[in-house]
Amino acid sequence: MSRSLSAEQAGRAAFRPPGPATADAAAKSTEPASRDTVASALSARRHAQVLTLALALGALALAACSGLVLGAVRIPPGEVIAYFAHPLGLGGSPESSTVAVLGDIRLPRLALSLVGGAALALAGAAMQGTFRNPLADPGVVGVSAGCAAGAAVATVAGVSLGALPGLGAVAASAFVGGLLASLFAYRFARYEGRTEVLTLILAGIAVNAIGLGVLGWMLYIADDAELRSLTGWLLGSFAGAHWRDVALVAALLAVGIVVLQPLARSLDALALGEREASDLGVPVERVRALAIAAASLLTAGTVAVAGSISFVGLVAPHIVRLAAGPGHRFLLPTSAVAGAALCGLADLAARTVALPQEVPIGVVTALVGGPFFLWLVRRARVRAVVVR
Amino acid sequence: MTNAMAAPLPAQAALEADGLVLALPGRLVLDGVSLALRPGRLTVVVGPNGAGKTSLVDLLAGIRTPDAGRITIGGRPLASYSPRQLARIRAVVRQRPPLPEGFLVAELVATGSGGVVDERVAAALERVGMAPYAERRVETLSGGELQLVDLARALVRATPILFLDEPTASLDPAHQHAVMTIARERVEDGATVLSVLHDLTLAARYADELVVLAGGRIVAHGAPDEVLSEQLLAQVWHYPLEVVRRGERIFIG
Repeated sequence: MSRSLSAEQAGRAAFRPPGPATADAAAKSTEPASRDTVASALSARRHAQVLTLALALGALALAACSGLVLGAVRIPPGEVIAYFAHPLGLGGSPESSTVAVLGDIRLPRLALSLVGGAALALAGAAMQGTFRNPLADPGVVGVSAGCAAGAAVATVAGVSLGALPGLGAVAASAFVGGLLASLFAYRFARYEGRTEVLTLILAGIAVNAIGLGVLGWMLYIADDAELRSLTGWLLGSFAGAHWRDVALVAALLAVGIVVLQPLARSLDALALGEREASDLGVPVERVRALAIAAASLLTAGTVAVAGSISFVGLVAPHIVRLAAGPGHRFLLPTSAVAGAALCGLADLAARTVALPQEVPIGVVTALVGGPFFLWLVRRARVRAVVVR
Repeated sequence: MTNAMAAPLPAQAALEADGLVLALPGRLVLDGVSLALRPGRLTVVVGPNGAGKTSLVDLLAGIRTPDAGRITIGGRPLASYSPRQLARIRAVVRQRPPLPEGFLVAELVATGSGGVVDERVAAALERVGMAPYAERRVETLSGGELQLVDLARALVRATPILFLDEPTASLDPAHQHAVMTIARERVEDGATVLSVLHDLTLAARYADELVVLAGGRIVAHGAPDEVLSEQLLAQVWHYPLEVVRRGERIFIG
């Protein structure tokens, strides 16, 4: 019987059948310090969260700094500082080659890799929460395949919807293709005002197959130049990034955060199951529709300008979840930071490991992300068994 | 428990159901069930497997819509409550508690208090005797422990109506009594409580009213003492169950 409530209980009319109170007390004698246990559960979680966020921000800073210094041409840190400090009236002027490399090439590319990584990771975290499955990513509803099909049709058949403001024809077509694919999968799975998760996944598989079919057909009829350009796009690259690409993805990222962050509590409730979430007053259908829409936008935008980049949306939220728990209020923004850091570092590797050549970033994320993910899953398994 | 969460909604709520029908393909699950639940009363629903007990809870809690019949809470039709209002009026503890991977026990209970781990969470965990487990991950709990934690999650919501669907299914006898004692506490506080139970001795001991459901119909409804006869038990469960009375207590086996 709880100690702190016992005064209240004494004041209450006696329970009708006397006796059970003794059974209760015998069953589990609660330590008076139990409130401390609740407090310490909280503080342990908080510590893990602070540490995780600090590490993610540290990795982001590392990615940003090393990404500016390293590359085909190494720019000394002093020059990088001069590039940023000089316009503010501090220090000497940087060399003109520094201005050209940093300002025109490296800075927009770094910025795109960071906002793109953040967008992919945020989309992944949202989809995993919506589908109650740590393996879900926007590919589940066919976004990536739709993007690929759109890009292929624009490149090979020359069919495009005209450039959207700030987007080239291929990117615009990929963007629209990705959104159409996810919309189609979602509409298909919706029946009598409800979407069944399993139906949605099956619809996503079908949409994926259709998208890949279109892609395969286009690859088959493409000429050599088109093939080369499509292959490059499919493997993903931040090379040749423009500030307008950065602006697009950053704008989508802002929209994604604004839409998803208020859903964090609802996604937490959804983790208990759809019925339990409904019990708790969560409008499950609305939350799911919003989360899928936001994740599709984020993914389609990033993939449209940078091509397919696998694993970031899976690995970044997974690391954060393992380190700091499944609560979405923390998971969503921190996954975005971790995703930015991962993508920034992956792009750095893509630019530097095989100099003077580049490795497509999709190859880097897959070759490094795959084994890393395996190790992570294995380690989590072992710990789950050993600890406690 | 305070009812701070239920601010503009009534602190007490009666529930009336009239002529509820629920049909699944090829099967009539509920066939005209009428029932009134009142504040300060513990109604226990018993009945053989497949009698429609869980379906009845789903309808009364507004999770499923009946094919016919009407339900009012506090005089208002159930359908007129928004999901959020409904969440503040009633809580459901299920046979199979949720098991969200990675959650700490305190965090799971806090989903009942809008995600905030505060003294309400501590008090609810303490009430079910699970406070020492607050920082454990939910995957490490036994079935019985999980059921107690899920009860704490409902207590933290301090709703005027509480549904318990076999809340004692995975519990040892001492904890079965502990849980039913907590149910009675909510009742003494003025809550409207309905519990589904399989253990007839437990039902007889704690119920104010006993509802016997069989084949989707209410076959008996009244004080446990009046309802529980060997004749009725044999009719409903098709098994010669014995009723032993010792003083005020009734034992069935």
